[in-house]
Amino acid sequence: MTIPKLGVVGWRLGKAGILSPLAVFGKRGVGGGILATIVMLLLSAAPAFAAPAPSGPDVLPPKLELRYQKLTSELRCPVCQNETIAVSDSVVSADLRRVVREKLRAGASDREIRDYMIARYGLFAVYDPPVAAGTWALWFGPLALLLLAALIAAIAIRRRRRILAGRERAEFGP
Amino acid sequence: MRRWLWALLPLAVAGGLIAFLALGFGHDPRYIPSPLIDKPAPKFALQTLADPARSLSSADLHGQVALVNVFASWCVACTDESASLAWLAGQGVRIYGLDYSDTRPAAKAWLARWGNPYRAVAFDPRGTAALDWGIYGVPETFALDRNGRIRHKFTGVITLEAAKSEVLPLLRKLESGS
Repeated sequence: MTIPKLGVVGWRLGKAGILSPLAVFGKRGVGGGILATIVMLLLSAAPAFAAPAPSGPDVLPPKLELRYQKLTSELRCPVCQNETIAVSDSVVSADLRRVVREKLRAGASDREIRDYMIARYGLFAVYDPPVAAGTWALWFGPLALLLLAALIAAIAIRRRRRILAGRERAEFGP
Repeated sequence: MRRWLWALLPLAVAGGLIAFLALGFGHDPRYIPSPLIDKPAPKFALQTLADPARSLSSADLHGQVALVNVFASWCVACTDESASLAWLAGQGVRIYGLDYSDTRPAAKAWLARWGNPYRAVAFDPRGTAALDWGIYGVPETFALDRNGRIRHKFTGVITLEAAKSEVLPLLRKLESGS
């Protein structure tokens, strides 16, 4: 939709009182139309903030692009640590993204690219480290703790029941 | 007797969990351990910063204890190291620079301004060589033994105190062949 059309739509909606939460500003009717126009224009501005589609040597063929998106969202940025290299702004992440692109173009497999990262940064570099001896605590620890808690809870409840039953029998007889 | 033992159990579990977390909080999460320790230094062959016609390669690092310092002209923190590296160079330490993701003019200007403690600087504009060393920030410094193996990684700025109390003793140890 073109911006003028969106503005008109907003105007009409506002006048009709449809964007009436904005009526909290006390502006139904024409005033609501003005406010709604502003809202619609702001919303229509959103696509302009999206990054332009990359062109030139950065563009990968569609199948590789899919793998690129998937890989870069599974690899941890070693600098920021809580971001993937797909979204991180750091210089190291930008260089790593470029390396991933070049490797994909050269025909490397997903596993080879992950191994590249792990060789340089350790298992920390991937968000789903392989289930090996060193990572059992990471993968199974929470589950083990949960089971332990459930076990303790079960035992405690059974004991409680027995105590209560014992007390009842003492008061009321068997 | 058994009753208060049971009461102790949740305390024990909580205590165990706290101990586990305390271990974790003891580590600074920013310092990821390097998987390259005790491995041969990654191979590289790059142009030197000063002269594109000459090259610096990993083979050149073989044979003597050396420091490889990854830096960049756009790295503000790296300026904090210039005094420490100059001191180390003055003590006879062989320091090689790896100029990461940089441009020649900026790097040369930076060295002219902040001093050049390096025997030679490898120019890595695309950054792939530095990534092979597993860098995740600048500056980072690697201590290599005589056989070209990485024996220690110093992440971040090396202060003058650290240069005196950690870096130099480590290099002397490596020189004496341990």
